[in-house]
Amino acid sequence: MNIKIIDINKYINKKKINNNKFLKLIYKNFIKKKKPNFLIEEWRYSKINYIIKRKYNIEKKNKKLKIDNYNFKKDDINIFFINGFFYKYNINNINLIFKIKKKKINNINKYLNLIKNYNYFSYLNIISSFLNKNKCIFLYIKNKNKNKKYINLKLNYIYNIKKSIMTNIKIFIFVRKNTFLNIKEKYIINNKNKKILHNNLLNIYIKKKSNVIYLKYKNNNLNFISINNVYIFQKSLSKFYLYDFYINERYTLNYIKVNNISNNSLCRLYGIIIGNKNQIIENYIKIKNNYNFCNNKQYYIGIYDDKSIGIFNSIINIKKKTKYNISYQKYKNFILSDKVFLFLKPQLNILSNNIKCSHGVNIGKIDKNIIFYLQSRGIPLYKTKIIFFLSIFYKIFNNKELKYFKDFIKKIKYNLKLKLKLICK
Amino acid sequence: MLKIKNLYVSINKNLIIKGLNLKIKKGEIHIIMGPNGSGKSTLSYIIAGKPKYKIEDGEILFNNKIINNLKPDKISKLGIFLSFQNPVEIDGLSMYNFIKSFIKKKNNNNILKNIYKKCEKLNINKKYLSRYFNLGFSGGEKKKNEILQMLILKPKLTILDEIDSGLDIDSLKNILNNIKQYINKKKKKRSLLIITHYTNIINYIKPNFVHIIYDGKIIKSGNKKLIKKIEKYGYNKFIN
Repeated sequence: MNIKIIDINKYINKKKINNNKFLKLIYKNFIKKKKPNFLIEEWRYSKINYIIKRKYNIEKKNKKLKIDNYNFKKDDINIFFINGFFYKYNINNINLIFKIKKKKINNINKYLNLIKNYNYFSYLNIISSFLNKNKCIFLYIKNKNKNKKYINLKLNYIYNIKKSIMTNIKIFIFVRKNTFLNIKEKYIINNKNKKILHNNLLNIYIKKKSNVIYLKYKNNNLNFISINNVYIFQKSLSKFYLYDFYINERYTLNYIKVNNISNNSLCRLYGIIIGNKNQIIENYIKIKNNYNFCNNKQYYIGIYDDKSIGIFNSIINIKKKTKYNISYQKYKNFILSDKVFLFLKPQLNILSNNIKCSHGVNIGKIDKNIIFYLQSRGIPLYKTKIIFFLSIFYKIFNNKELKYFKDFIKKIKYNLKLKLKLICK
Repeated sequence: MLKIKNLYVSINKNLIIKGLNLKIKKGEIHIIMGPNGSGKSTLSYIIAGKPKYKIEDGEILFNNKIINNLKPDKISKLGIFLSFQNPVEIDGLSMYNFIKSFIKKKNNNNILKNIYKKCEKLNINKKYLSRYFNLGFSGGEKKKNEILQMLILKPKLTILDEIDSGLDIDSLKNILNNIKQYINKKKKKRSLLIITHYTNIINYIKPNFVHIIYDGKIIKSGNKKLIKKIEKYGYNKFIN
């Protein structure tokens, strides 16, 4: 089926929707949500038309596709998706309780509370997967022992395609009490000449005293478009760490929403973005502090070259009568070309006293004095720039949570250096 | 070794160096003195190849090679080292990693041994190597760091821009003794250009020539006796 996102309503069988209460509600909300356009403040500078006005194929599940010779023994849990459909999972650890359920959309009534604040693309994900009968994946993860060992979960997205497609993947992860989980993503794409729109919806529900480290690493080809909708729900004494690394991708749209649903939660969002050519990277981050003693911090570093575009729209809401919340936003950006377009808007919406908040944005060029100093020691210009950027990245790589991803981080550092070499030369 | 012929330098269309001539032979030690804003630091930057400055006229020759339009890294590789008046601070880059980035040998053990030896000479604590580059260092520690780099790079011509500022007497003695040792090791091959405000530097290093720079020009040259005159009468006597 070849469809345009903008006309997706045309392809939906409304009779079928009316017969299903849940879908009816979803559909209502979907229509209410205005399509992103420049008249809406949030989307004013967005280049979303690049995604919306294109045609995509919505594929049906192809049972013939299989994965061969793929090494999955390193991680505790491996989940495989082929062309957006759940394929299989593997578990290599006996110390965890793991359940996986494939459910039809209409069975998730009890999670309506989770999805009532979905954005346009999340609804689009559910509605369009109704067209190709793609089911939700529910993961329940618990550590059997009370030790604080991290469970490795790897989400493998495999694309074996012959034509351009749009995929809609929905994953709900429920992290049980006292469970430490780290999540990695891997993309394997066989045909790099075809456009892929990867519309991903990930809900992570973190229970009491649990930790989740989510490592997003995007180093795909320049035909890959991804929309990442991430919704986090944190209970008390839970910790959530997100590490974003964007190296290569044509268009990346991130929508991250963190909800504190109890006191005493901690959230850290870190990111490194390196954009060049025509890359577009958009980030929409919303953090809701509805309870007391919530601590959150955002620190993003961006390097933009050529005609790349970076958009950052972030808001931290602190509810009335909450106390002792700490929020901190910082975005550091370097522009290497005059044709770069950047729009950054860190916002704080504070409705209570007794809080600590700060926000800041830096946009600028590389410090010429540092470059001259390094050059005066015999280091060539392109290398001085690489040293300079790597020294700035160090603040993120130095975080102790990343020690659980040693090999993966090595790979990321290697690819970051490669991209920096390309940009700095 | 270094020849500067009729040099005119500007920054943002303001002429700073106005027809400067200087000759430094192999093994010589020169001291440049002058009032604030006379162009001393500009001269050091222009020799090191800072792109911000524009050479309007004249030429700089190093070992008979024109280095006017060379990039700072290429000038450094020819054997010119500039010790900065205010060295930069780089957060996130450890001293050890920085030094490793410009060292030619790639055997890690040897590099460490070599650096440790030089640290001991300069009374630098080894722990400093794991700290971020110059971040939170005192003025004296920054200057010691500059000399450490000099000892590792082994340049033919060293330019010391106000090396004596921010140093206590013991550190100054230690640093200047190390510089002296370095120069004396290959006396006929290594030269030194010191830019300073303090006359008591001659108690530690004996220069071959002393120059007074004013308004972008060398207005007086002489031997170490000139420093004593400067101490006695100030610069006004030479300016007028």
